[in-house]
Amino acid sequence: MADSDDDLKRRYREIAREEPSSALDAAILAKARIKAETRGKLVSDTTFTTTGNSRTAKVVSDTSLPLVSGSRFRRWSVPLSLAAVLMLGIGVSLRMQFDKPGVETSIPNEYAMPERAEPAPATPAEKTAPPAATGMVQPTQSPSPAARGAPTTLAEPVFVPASPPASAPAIAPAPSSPSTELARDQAAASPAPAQPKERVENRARADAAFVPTPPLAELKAAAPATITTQPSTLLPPSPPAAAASPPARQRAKRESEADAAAGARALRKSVAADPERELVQIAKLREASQNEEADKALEEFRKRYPEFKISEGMWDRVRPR
Amino acid sequence: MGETDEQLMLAYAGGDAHAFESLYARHKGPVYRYVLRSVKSRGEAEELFQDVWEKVIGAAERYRPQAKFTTWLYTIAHHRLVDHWRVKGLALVSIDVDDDEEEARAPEPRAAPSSEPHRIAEARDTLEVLSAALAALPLAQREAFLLHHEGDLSVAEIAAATGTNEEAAKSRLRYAINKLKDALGDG
Repeated sequence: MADSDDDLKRRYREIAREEPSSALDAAILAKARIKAETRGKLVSDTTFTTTGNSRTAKVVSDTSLPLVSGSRFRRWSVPLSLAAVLMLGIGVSLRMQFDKPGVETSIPNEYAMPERAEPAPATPAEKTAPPAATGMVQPTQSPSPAARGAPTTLAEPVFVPASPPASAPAIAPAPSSPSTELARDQAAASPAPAQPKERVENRARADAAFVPTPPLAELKAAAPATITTQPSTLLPPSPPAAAASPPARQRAKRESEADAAAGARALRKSVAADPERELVQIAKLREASQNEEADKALEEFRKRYPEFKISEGMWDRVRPR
Repeated sequence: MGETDEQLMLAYAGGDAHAFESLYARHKGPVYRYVLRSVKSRGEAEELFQDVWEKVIGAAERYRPQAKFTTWLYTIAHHRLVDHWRVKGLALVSIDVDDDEEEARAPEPRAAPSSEPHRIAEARDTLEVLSAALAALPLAQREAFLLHHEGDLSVAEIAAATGTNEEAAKSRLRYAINKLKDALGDG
């Protein structure tokens, strides 16, 4: 039995010659080496203390190891963030100041806007209105109180002050003739300055219908730059406007809207303080011996403010002579 | 011979990579053949062989020389093979079943296509006959034979590695040897 077993073993040895491939050997040995390296590191960092029969291992932390790189990032993250926010804020402020000087101050629009409000009242009516040098508005053409609320048409006579109404309340009266000032005040008191907007709307409607009336066409040709407060789609854009980028166009639109709002505020303010000032203007006309004009102005004043009580002193100054 | 397997394994557990190389050089062939003759293809055998050694590498820290290193090593290999057979859906040989009953059972799944009887008959060379007869053995018997001849394990160690009792291991080994002798015409 033992002999046969040995014979079987010998024969089996003859067929049992397979070996794993060298690549497999290399892979396994590489894994073993990696594991041994990490284990050797761990073992070298471990001290063994023997107490009686028990053997305990204690991992000794190496204090000479450098700090984790993440802690450095954590240490600088807050200061860096603050610096970035500051830089961004300063950059935006500078940019805004560069784009729109004076934006950093808190001056109300009504004081900052007059320069830009110039084109608003300068409607196409300038062509039909008397030149600013005359400074005289025909009082008979002033709309009646009933007609004030009615929508105006393009054919209506336009009464536009020679100087922008938005700037009128803010600017001290210039040393011009009293008639000029009176005309300016009358124009400011009347609802006429509100008309350009309606008129342009009407014009927009007319443009949309593709039947521009001859006066409108004339006005467009005469003063193309005066409709700056309206959307650029209403009128053919001027070359610079057409070349402007969309953000610039939007900014211009916003500015023009702000101008219009400031103008309206200024008008309301001037109308509220109007009767007294108008009487003063009439008194000045009397003093200048321009009685005819003063009479007309007084008549107009009566029509406009029928219930206004004129004080005795003022009446002495303005009464007809 | 130098250091024993157990000493080498402990040295490796302490971080000595060269100890593992020595250990691997000693046992790679027998373990490989044990796995190769237990599965159908060389590819599967290589995969399982690699898994076995990775388990050895991973378990080195927990290794305690309470038994022979080879017993521990082949226990790992056996468990890996059992997992493999389970995945393949092969019916495992009940290691607790009596060998006589085992003999009477229906044929077990064979590990190789060459396990068919007609292949054995066609084998002209003695070595081929032996190889075919070995492949035709039931899994448990073949395993016992391989552990004895490749791993140089005793019956008790075979029982420990395969998780069975010594009687069953002895019986399996005896049946395997007898069948192979019959195949070779030595019976």
